[in-house]
Amino acid sequence: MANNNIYDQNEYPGPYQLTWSKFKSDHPAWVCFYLVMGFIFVALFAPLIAPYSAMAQHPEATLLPPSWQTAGDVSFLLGTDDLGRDLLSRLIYGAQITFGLSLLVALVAMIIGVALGALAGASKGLKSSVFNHFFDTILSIPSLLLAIIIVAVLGPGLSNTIWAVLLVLVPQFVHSTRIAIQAELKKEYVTAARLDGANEWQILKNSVFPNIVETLILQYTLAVSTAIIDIAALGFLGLGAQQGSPEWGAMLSESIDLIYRASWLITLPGVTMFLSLLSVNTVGHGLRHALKSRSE
Amino acid sequence: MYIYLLRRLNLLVTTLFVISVFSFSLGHLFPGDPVVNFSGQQSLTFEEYDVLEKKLALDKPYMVQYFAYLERMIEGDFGFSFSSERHISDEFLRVFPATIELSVYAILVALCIGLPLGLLAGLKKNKVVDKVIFSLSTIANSVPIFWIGLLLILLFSLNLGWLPISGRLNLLYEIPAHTGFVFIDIALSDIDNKPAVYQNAFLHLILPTITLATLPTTLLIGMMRSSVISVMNSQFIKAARTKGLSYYQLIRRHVVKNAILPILPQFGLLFNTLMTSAMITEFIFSWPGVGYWLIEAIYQRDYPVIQTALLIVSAFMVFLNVLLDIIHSLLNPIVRKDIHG
Repeated sequence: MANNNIYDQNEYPGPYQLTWSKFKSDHPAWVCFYLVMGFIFVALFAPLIAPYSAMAQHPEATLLPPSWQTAGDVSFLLGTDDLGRDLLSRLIYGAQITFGLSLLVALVAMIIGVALGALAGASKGLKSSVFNHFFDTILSIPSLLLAIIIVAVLGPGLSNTIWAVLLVLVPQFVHSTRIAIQAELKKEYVTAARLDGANEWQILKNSVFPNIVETLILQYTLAVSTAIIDIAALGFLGLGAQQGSPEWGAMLSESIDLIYRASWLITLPGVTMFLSLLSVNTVGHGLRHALKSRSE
Repeated sequence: MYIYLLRRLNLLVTTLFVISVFSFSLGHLFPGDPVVNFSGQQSLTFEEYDVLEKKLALDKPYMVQYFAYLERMIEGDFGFSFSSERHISDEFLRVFPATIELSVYAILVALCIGLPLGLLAGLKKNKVVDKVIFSLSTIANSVPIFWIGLLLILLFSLNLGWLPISGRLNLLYEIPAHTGFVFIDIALSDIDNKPAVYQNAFLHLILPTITLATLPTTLLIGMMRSSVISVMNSQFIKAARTKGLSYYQLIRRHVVKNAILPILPQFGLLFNTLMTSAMITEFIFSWPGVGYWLIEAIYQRDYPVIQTALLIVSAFMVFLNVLLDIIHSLLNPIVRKDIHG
């Protein structure tokens, strides 16, 4: 094959590019990355995609099975529930709540957590010790239990669930940021930068931060998966999104009574939740793998 | 070693302090009157209210209130539940064994399945066996636990009719609760036809145990796999191999022990997952444990119960974590050198 490169110079990929190409060569992770993109697309454009509104009731078509069964109707692709609401539309709107809100909550938690973590990571002595103990305490309480407690104080409801999940996620970001920063600060290039006269802020911004971005993205995928599980679990327990809301967990708990009559109302939201969690987890795993094989 | 122990104990005390302060402030944060929230007695006359306020030291500054609260907690006086109007400590002793029982079975199942599979996957790194085990565990890790529980009920209880849906024992059998552990209670009771009762209790256990064991098993597989891989790459394995040990001897004498040790401190994470999953599992299968109790309390706005359950469960988790750290340092000499923990 002819060499099109007329310059006598090799291109070396930068660290980000290297991670990216490693990530792309991991096929399951790459497929799941597209799946995540698909979920984001659905969450963003739910009103355009969904055939009906999430609340629209069709009294003439209650408890229709999915359209591939003989009793099904093709105008309700995944069937309907006991009030005649289209399951597909509800799942699509549910993506907005369970998946979309999880992404946003994790993002906000990341911004707050990284700021606090940078503070904790850069400080030394008593202040940092107090910080560590405080966050270790919070981390030793299981995330869902903490979320349940916060909901118990604030009262049930979707917005309180979001606050609870946010408060649960922030310490995790603080913890991982602090550890990443402290590991980075021990390295020699930071000492070199310090000898050049860089102050704390410059070291943090120019030396440390670009090197921990990937760790933070990894933590972000973990946080998103925790957020999805927690929001859905609280919805399922009846402490989060209220009955009637198209949130996936709440949809499941609503259909428990119909489990024998209409099992698709249990299986299909579960499958959707499972796919979203699997894709987020696999992307996170692929990323961790890419980072590891890059450093080897 | 003593310094290490002291540091761990220090951590334990600080953590318990933070948790108790949080739990104390909940009594003021919850809607309603602090005296009612702390004591759990809702219908009080004015005289009783004043007496109780004095007794709980709620008319004094927060510091004094906190120490009075701490004293009550240490004595085991948690007040009364709003809904059942019984002592919370009695209630807790009724539900706690059920959770422990379920969790112990689940963790045993997880250990029996997770460790061998993790070992196998780690030894056959990047071979087909490893890929199959690893993909299966990733998939199982992503299934929401409440959905698994429902699917199991749908399949085994409703469609096949093999296993009971909920509870710990068929209502036909009336077993007086002595210890709260169902098998011990059956052994202590003087009921006829004990084998049938045992079988019934066992059948009730299967579905909740499987549901609860799923997530810890996948975590264990992942931990064990990476631990085995790092052990297999170490120098002493190479040395043992050059000495001519057979593959089986190598694994039995060197790999297993050294791979299990580093994952011991990660068991804290395992117990956290177990605790969270246990709450949801108990909710699905109406298992009368701590999680079911707590969630019921939230539905009924039973603030004294919520406050106490939070305190005890988190203190228990912290205690378990520190205990694991200490056990780990007793077993693993490498950590002992690192006294700062």
